[in-house]
Amino acid sequence: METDDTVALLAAAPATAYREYLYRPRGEFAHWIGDQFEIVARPGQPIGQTLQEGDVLLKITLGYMRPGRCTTLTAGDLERVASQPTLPYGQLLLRPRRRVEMSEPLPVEPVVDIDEPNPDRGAAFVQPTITVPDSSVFDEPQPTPPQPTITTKEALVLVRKPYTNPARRRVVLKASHAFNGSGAFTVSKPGLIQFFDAATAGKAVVSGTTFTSDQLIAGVTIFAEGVKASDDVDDVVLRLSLTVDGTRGQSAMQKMTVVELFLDIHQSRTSRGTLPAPLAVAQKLNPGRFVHLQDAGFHHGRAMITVRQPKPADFSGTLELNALDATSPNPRVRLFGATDEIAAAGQVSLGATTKITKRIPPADVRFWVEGAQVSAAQHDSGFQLGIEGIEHDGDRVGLTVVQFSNLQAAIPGTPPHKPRLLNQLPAPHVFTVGPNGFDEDPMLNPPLPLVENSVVGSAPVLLTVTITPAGTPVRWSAQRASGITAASGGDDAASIVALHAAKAPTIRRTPGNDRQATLLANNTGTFHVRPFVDCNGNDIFDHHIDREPNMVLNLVLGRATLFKDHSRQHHDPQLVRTASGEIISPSGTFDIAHPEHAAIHMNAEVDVVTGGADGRRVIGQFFAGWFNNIVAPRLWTLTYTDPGHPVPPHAVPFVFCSNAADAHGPGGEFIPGDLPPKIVDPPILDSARPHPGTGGDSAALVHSQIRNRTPRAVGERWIVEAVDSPGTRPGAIGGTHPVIAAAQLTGVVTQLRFACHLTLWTNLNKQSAPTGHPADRQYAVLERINWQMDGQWTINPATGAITQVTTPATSITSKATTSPAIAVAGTTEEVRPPAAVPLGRKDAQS
Amino acid sequence: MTETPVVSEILQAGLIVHVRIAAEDLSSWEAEDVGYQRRGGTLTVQVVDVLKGRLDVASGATVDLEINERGSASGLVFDFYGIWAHVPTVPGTELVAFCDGTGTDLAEQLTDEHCEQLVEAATVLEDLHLALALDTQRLTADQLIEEASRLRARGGALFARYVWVNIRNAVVESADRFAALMRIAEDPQTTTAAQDAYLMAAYEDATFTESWPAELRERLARAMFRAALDPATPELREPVLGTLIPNLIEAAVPERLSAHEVFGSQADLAEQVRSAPEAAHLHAWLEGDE
Repeated sequence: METDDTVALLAAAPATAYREYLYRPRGEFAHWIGDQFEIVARPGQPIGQTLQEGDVLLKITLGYMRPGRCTTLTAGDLERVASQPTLPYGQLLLRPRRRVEMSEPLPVEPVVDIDEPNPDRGAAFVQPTITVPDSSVFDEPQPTPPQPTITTKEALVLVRKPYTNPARRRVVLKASHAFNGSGAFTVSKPGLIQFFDAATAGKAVVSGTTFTSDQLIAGVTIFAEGVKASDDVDDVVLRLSLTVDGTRGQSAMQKMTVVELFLDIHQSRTSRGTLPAPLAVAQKLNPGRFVHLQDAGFHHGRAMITVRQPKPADFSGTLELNALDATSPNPRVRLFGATDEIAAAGQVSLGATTKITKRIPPADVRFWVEGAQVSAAQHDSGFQLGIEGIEHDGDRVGLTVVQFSNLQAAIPGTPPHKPRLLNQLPAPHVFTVGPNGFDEDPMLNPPLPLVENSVVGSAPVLLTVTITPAGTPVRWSAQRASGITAASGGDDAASIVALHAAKAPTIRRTPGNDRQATLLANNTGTFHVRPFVDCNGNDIFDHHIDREPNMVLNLVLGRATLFKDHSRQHHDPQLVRTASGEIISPSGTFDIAHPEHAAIHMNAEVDVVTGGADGRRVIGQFFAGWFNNIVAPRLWTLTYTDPGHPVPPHAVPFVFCSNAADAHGPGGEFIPGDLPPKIVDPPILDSARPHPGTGGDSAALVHSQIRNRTPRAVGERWIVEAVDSPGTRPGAIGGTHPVIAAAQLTGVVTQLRFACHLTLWTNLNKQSAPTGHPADRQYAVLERINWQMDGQWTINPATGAITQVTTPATSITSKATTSPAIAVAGTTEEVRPPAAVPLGRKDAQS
Repeated sequence: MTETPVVSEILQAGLIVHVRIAAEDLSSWEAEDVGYQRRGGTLTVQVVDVLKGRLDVASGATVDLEINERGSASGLVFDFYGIWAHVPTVPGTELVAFCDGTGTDLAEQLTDEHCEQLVEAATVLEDLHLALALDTQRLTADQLIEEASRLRARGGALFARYVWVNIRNAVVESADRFAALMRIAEDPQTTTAAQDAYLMAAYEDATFTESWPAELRERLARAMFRAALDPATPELREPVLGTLIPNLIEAAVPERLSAHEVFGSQADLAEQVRSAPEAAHLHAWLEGDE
């Protein structure tokens, strides 16, 4: 092949020749060039040889897919080229070897793809078209080809998630000047970025879209929206390729990266050793996670937030984690570092925003968040993860800062066994959790004391609570207190815990109103009753595992068991005359210090266990007493005999009636002509205490007392005792019939029937007497003693002599123990008014 | 003295005073609350003796008391209506008051607030004199037991409780001393009230504290059986055999008592129990079936 032929071949594709020779020196084309030419100077090398006419200069523009030039130096070019100290990059000086003919034919390879991503290396052959310039390249005026450009402020775009709204990235396509042709916009990787003709909505601009010269002169703005994360940084190439006068013109390229950010918010823990699970995507914004407003005592839990490694993994930009209201002077949430899960004094908050400058490791970066201001609405707070200075909304999570307040327990009280005479219960006692209502320590958050089993299922304790914001779902639970310090009484003794298989008293949510629940007193010991927000879906408060938003009502349920009953009768009823001649019916004294002088001594040893290590937590708020009921309608029956009409005699019984005002006899008796007595049926409360039956010990016999409270290893043992000696005062028995003056007292029958109940209650105010504090109207009964007094006498009106007909006797007929104590409600015990004595009247109507 | 569930009203009271009603000037009864009535007025009392504590008046002095007496309109007595409701107030009546002794003003001490008990003097004076006479002698436990034995036919329940509270520790720590006391408790010459009080005090202490050794409880049970089976004290039979002994022998803590342990070689006592109709419910225990 002649030299001119070989030069012509180089001139057909100078850029290809340059790149093949330098970048693929082992390729066939490089070998062919080496055979045909010797190297005078490589790019960047000094030109060490004297240049000669006929030397060939290959000149290309680095970084562009342009054809380049091939110039055969003439005499006029030699000095100019030789004057350069080194041969510029992009140039190669060759000198044709003298050859007779080529040894091998020129290889032919496919046309290079214009979208080839690495133009500098992606060399390929084209079928050469020989175009030898007519004159020197340095002298010939070159027409400036139109230059395309692709500009964007940031060459990255964030993946848009269904719940995020990152701004589309603005990309401007432009040409330097008018030309005859068009520009094609192409994207190297389909499916990663979607382009639109507007910042929002708009029409899609797909890869391959062409724009006119006029459009490109004016500049075409398109908007990039991330669809799928890049595999590597800069792996998406945008290209604007011009076609000028029907031939391929210059093209512009812009690399972009599609970044996907991952922000998770986590459930509360379900076990201590396991990190909490992240909320599912469907839930992480709505409902998101709930945290309670943190308080000065650091009682509330924090939620874990994690920033996962972005995609692509080699992305190294600075991330920014911002509260949604980070610009507010009082953001609703605040962040803490990875080690600050448990709120404590001395921890430094990161505030509502933080930057992550280090590359995120595969194991993610952890933060903890707590409530700083109560939310106004559900999930109105949260965090966004973005890229500093570029975009905030790469991912986001929702949060609601809640606040519990006004936790109350309404204790209904024991209703009357027989509703009558306005004896219905007043409004329930309301126990309101105090200012330390988030503290489990019963010394700081005083407990509600209740006697175990004093509450029945049909009238449970009603729990209510307020939570802000509205719509926050509330659950209820109770757990036995644990972790209570010794200074605060410690945890319940093992023997207390062992009393029940159930771990806690029964709590039931009120259907349709989750801010209400009911509570039974069916356990023993110290418990935390609490409304809470279930943050892991297991419907339980994970005590000592995590701290879901909650409030604490401390509850102490005390168990009373009967150890021994020593109750016994001492004295029988009598019918005697006093020194002044009046008839009385005594049975003993009301002297608790001398029970042997009473008709009966109720006397039991009761074991009481509440809570704490010693079983005596707030035991001073527990009380017991003997509540006596009259259980038969008659007491004493007097018989009057008219000597003129001895048969039948006139029976005048004492009765209990509600209309004493209708009795108009001279001694307040019911007499013929009066309305009949309205009988009040037994059981009737028998107590002379002030306002009997209004709570506390007001239903007990006056001399009922707890003689002593002696500590035991766990709990206390009490001696609960009372005396009773029913009888009559002078004047109550004797004389003549109130209407039939001739009829004189000839007989007396005593027939008293009682049921005395060993009854327990509590009083937050530590008073045995009723004070209106919880729960002095909520009673439990431990023992029932049925006892009676009988006697029959005749009186000789002529002599006044009293003769015993039957042996008088005070006797205990039976004892029934319900140990441990059970609710009075549902038994036959009456704890409500009226009391018996004011109802007593003689009925002389027969 | 020590922590015991049994109390002595003599030891507890700060003031024990013996008075006589000198004059009564009370109004007629007036209706009070529904079903109750009240009368008030002046009682003049003469201090007969200050048995314990101090008053700002000497024996023989008279003091006017403004009192209120309460009672039911029907005349029924079902509960305690105040200290003056349960004692006669006619002149000449002698009463003993057990008061807290927080002051020396008799009029103030004889109110419901300060007076624990107001009882007819005859029911308590003998016991008070016996006990308070011993109280001044600072006797040892053994000496007190000896005195209790010597006075067994005179002392009643108050006296017995006084003795018990003073010697409780000593008898619980010594089986011999306890046996000495039980010999008094089961002695037919001892007043029934004192028998009852000694047995009840020991029983309450044993069951309440659950710390008595079996030997003492066995001895107590034998004393209870003997007292209850004594034909001279029928009033003790039912409560002791029916309530107290079953409670004592069946107490699981420290341990139950078997009939063999209680009676040992005293077959005659066991036979007495076996033949008593009131102890029929104990036959299974006697035969060792329980």
